[in-house]
Amino acid sequence: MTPDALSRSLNGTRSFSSIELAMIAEVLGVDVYWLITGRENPSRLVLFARHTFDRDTREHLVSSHLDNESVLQDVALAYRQAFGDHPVEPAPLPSTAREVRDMLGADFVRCFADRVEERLGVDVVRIPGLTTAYGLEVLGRRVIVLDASGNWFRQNFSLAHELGHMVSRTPSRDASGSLGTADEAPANNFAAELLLPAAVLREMTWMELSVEELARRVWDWGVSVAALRNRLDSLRIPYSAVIHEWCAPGRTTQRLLRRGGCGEGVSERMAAAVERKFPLRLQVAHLEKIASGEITASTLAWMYGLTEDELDIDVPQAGAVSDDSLAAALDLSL
Amino acid sequence: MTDNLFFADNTVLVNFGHIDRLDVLERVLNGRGRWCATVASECFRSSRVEGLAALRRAPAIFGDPWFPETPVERLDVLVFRDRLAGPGDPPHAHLGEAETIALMARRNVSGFVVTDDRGAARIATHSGIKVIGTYDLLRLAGRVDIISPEDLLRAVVTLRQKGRGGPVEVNDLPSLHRWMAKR
Repeated sequence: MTPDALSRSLNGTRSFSSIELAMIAEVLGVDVYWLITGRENPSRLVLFARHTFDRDTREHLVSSHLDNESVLQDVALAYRQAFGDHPVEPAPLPSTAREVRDMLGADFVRCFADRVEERLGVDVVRIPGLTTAYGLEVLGRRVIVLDASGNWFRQNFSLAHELGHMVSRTPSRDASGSLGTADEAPANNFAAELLLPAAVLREMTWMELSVEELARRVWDWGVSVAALRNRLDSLRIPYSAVIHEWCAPGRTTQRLLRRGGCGEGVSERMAAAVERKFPLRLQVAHLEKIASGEITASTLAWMYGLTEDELDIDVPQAGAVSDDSLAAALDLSL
Repeated sequence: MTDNLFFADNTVLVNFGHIDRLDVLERVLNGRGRWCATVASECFRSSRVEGLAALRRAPAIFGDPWFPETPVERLDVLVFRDRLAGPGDPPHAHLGEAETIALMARRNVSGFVVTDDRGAARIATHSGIKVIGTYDLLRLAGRVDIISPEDLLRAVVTLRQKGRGGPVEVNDLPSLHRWMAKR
């Protein structure tokens, strides 16, 4: 944009093009919607990030947030395309881990993501390319985005942690729009209580524990040995040396599970944890809008991990214009 | 309001730039060519690319660009941009097509979007706007003798070699004539 054009646009003798507005918003670090209207964008992305704790600086950091940002924006785009004309008020969530456990039902951790969607109305997306999990809100819809890493127990904890943020409503984007250092303790406590309830742990015996028993408990709860140990430490429950041994460097939860006879299920859980996952209602909304010609199929193809050409679905074709009609519209004689 | 305006997007302009035949575009549009401001910006940037200097002639064909003038029109552009976009797209991709469709739809412009972008074509159609592409204009130009069959064949081959699509069945003059007679 030339200085003259900018000057004329600012004094009202020339308008701004869309590309100019987008670039001005980028330079100023503001939302283009705000630039146009002076109001907050109703379809803005509100983030609840899972932070990594830096023991040296004692800060909670979101590593590689810039790398993750584009994936999150793609997820938000998918929601705007599907539901942009139907924003909703976020449904109320229960306020304690116990209430959430009750709503999720028995053995929820085996199908954690599905239960969260069905019973809490919080969508769960699983996609590769993230370095951490995120909770976000777009158009009133709550979404938890997990990295498709294959590490199901980390996914479980991340899912529980993000639920904790949503329950306590602690968005970690500060007023300037940058990712802040939200207090992670309540979300971590919520996750621990959801997955490893204190009352249940206190009723169990932890001093005399075989490797097989430890493996079975870790398997049933869907957590890592380290997470279990941390929980027992925080609850000041004394426990067997077996747990210490399986938290030592080089010992992994997967190895414990294989040793403890859960090996066959490990592959199954890992396979499920690397699968791309998008909520069915999001996919259905895309299919309907693609069929009507309202949106393109590129986002649905991305959800499936395909190219648009590989996605074999019906799309409306633009009606062909005959040469006769075209010539007539252009005042040309055939 | 003038009927039957033809709003080009940059995919089509670049095609005519590649074959260096903006003169054909000018004559076939017959004074009905228009463009939006973002497309004009995109075209200006494209004209700096090696081999596309012919695009410098575009302002003489399309005249003063149309700008979004109201907040409603500007927000419409954002809505259409979202509809056109896909994951991984650069942040400013599709703004030209979005601005074109938004202004035509909001101002009830009677006319055509001229684009080779399939997604933009479908979304324009959904908004009640007729759509044509590069090859519709080239074929018509051939049929009304604005471009000779030999030059038209050369244009089709050039565009195909540059990966710009086109009728796969056209390889020589007989096949060109069959293609031209289709519609």
